[in-house]
Amino acid sequence: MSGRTLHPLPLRVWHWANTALIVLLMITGVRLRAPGLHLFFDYRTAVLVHKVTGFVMAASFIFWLIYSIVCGSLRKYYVVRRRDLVGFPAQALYYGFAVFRGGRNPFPGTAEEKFNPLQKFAYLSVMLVFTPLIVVTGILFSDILRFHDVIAFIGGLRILDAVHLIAAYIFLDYLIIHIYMSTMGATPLDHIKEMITGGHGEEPEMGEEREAGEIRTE
Amino acid sequence: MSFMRKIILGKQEALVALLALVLLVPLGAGAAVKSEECLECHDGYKDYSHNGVTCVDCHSTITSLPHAEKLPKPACAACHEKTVTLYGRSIHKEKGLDCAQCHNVHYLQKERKYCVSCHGNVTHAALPSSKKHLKALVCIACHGKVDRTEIKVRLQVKGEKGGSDRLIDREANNFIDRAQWDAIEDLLQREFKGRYALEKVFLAQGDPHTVTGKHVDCDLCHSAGGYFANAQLSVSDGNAFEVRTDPRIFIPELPSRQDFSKTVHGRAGVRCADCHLSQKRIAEGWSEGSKVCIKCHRQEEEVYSSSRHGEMGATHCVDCHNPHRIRSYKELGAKERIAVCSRCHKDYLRIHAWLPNTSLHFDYLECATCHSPRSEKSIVFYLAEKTPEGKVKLSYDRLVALYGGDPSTLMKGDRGSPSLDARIGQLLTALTERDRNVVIDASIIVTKAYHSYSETRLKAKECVMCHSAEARFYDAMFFILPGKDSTSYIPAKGSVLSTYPIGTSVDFFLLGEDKIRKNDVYKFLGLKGAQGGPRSDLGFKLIDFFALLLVVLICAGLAVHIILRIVVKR
Repeated sequence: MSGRTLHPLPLRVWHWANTALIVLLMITGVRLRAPGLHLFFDYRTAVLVHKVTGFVMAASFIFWLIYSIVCGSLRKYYVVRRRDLVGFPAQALYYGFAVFRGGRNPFPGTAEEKFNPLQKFAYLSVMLVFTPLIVVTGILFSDILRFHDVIAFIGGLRILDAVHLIAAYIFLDYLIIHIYMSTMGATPLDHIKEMITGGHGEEPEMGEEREAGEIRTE
Repeated sequence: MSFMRKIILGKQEALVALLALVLLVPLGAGAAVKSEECLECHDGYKDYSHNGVTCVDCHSTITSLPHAEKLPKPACAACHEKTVTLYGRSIHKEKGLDCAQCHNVHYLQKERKYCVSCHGNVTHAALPSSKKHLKALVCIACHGKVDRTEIKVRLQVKGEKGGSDRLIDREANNFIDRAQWDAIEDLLQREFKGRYALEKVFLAQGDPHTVTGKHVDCDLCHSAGGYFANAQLSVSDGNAFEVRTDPRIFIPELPSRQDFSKTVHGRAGVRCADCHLSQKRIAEGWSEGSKVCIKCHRQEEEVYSSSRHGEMGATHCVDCHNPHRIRSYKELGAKERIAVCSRCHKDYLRIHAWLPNTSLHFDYLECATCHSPRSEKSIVFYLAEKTPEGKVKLSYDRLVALYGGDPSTLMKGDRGSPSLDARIGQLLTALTERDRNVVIDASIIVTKAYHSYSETRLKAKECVMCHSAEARFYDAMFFILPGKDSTSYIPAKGSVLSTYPIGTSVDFFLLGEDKIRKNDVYKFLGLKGAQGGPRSDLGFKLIDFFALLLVVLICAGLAVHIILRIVVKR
C-alpha cells in the first residue's frame, strides 16, 4: 500500500464536503423552485439552509481555487492544450464505442496529464465557469436590496434567476454523469473507494480500462 | 310764485315787466326753482330729506313754475352715476326693479328697505351652517361684489391683566399662527374658563347695488388667496393690543371646488351639502360620520363597522379617506395606500421585521395585500420613471408628453391588434426613446376592496402563501394605464409575465410565475385539456422543461450505456 496517493487528503475532504453541500443545495433548491413539493424542509428553513449552504459552498470554492493555484494543479491539469482539442473526438468515441470492445483509453490519466480531454472540458467548465456563476448569482440573490443596482444592470431578477437556474441544471447534469463515470473503474465502486481512501499508485493497472472520473494523482 | 304772479297780473307794469323779462331772463334762466316754492303746492313732502339736495336737483326739467303736468322720472344717475352703473348689472335691475323699489328717495332714512324686507323667508337650506353664515355675514358677502374683507377677533379677558402680548404672541413676530392659536385656546380653556369673551367679526363689505343672481363659491372664503386674507386679533386684558393672525384659523380651508370636481365624489356629482348636513365635523361622532357616508357606502360601512377597526371605534371613514381629495383606490399606488395606514400604524416596518427583505416587500405591496384576506388582489404593472429619489409612477400628463399623445388607443387594442405584451413593448420602446429612465414596475394590490382590514391569515408566516404558483393574484393581472379622467386597468393574461418587456426588465419577482403547474406540463406536451395560450406563454418555465428533458435524455443515454456494459461485461 506504499506509493503515490491518488487523491490528497485535503482534496478528498473538499470533494465529499462539496458533495454534501451540493446535495443540500439541490434539495433546498427544488423546495424553493417548487414550493408545492414538500421535501424535508419547510419553506423558510429551506431558504435559510440554501442561503447558508450557498455561502459555505462559496468558501469551499475559494478553498479549492487557492489550493489548486498553490499546489499548481490548476495550471498543470486545467489548462487546455492542443492535445485536448485534437483528442476530444477520440475520447468521445472511446466512451461511446471502444469501451465496449475493450479498446484502450486514448488518454490514460498520468501524474502529468490527470484528465482526458472530456474530463478537462467537464471539470474546467464546472469549476471555473458554472461554480463561479452559481456562487455569484447566489450571492446576488442573498441580498437583493444590497445588490439591487448590479441586478438591475444584469437585466433584473428574472434574468438572474434564469442564469442561476441554468447553472443549477448543468450541475445536476454534471452530477449524474460524474456519478455514472465514477462506476467505470476496474470495478463499479473502485473510483469511489479511491476517493475515500485516497487510492494508491499500485492499484491494479487498468490503464486501458481507466475511465473518465478516474483521478490518478499524487 | 307770488313774484311771478305779480309780473303777469299787473297790467300797469306790463311794459316794465316786459323790459325786466327781456333784461332778466337771461340772468334768471340759471336760477333754480327753490324747494320752498315747490313745497307750497307739494306740502306732503315738507319733511323730505335727501342729503340736502333740492327738488329741482332731481326734477331737473322744472325750470319755472308752474311746471308741466307730466314730468319725466328723475335720473338718479345724474348724481349716482357709479352706483347706477353697478346696479345696471345687478339681478335686481335685470328683474326690472328701479331705485325707488328699495329707496324712498324723498325720505332716505324713512322706510328704508333692506334685503330681508323682500327676502325675509330665505331659508338657505343648502348652505352648510346656514345660521352661522347668516349671522356672521351680510347678504352682499355672498350675493354681490365685495371690496373689503377682514376678520376681527376680539378677546376680552375679564378681571385679568395676565395676558400680555408676549404671552399671546410668543414669538414676538406680530403674527399668530395656528399652533400659537391652539395654545391660546388651550390657555383660555384651562385658566380663564368662563372669564373671557371671544368675538369673531367677519367683515365683508361691498356695494349692495352689485347684488347678483348667483352666489359666490364656498372656496372664495374657504381657500387661500380668496376673501379674508387678513385677520386681526384685538386683545383687551388691561394691556390692549392688536396682533395679526392667520385667517385660516377662523375660516376652515376647504378643498377648492375645482379640485373637488376631479375627485371620485366630484365626478359623481356629489355636492358639498350632500355630506355637510351641519357644521359639526363629520369625524367628531362615529354615528354622525357613518350617517353621512352610508348614504352611498352602506355595504362598506357594514363590513367595516363589524371589523376590529370599526368595533374599537378607533377610526371613522374620514380618518382613512379624505372625502375632499379622494381618488379612486384604483388610482393609488401601493405606497400611497400604505401611507393611508401608516398615519396610525407608523411602526409597520418594525412590526414586520420578521418578513425577509421587509422594505422590499413594502415597495411592492400594500397593507391590505395581506391584511384583508377577503379583498381581491392582483398583480398590476405600470409605467414608472427612475429618479434619484426612486421610481415614480408616470402621470397621465407625463405619459402624454413622452409619448406625444394619448396612448390609450394603442394600449386598449381591438380584435386583430397585437397581444398585450407586444403593445406594452411598443409603448415602452416609444417612451424609452424619449427618456431612458422609463421602466415598467409592478405591485400586488387590492383590486376589489373588502372593508375589513383587521384579520390576517398570515399567523403561520408562510412565504409560500404568496411565493407560489397557487397564489391567487396570478389569476388576475392588469396593466395600469393612466387616463385623462380615470385610470384604466387592462386585463393582462398569458405571456405578459414571461416576454419582453415585463418578463425581462422588471424588478418583479415572486417565484410563483416560474413554477411549473400541472397545466403547464399539459401545455408543454401539447396534451388535450391544457388551458391558456400557446406554449410560448410558459416563458421562463421553459428553462425547467428543457433542462428536465435534457436530464431525462442523459439518464436514458446512461441507461443504454449501462445495458451495453452489462451485455459486453465491461
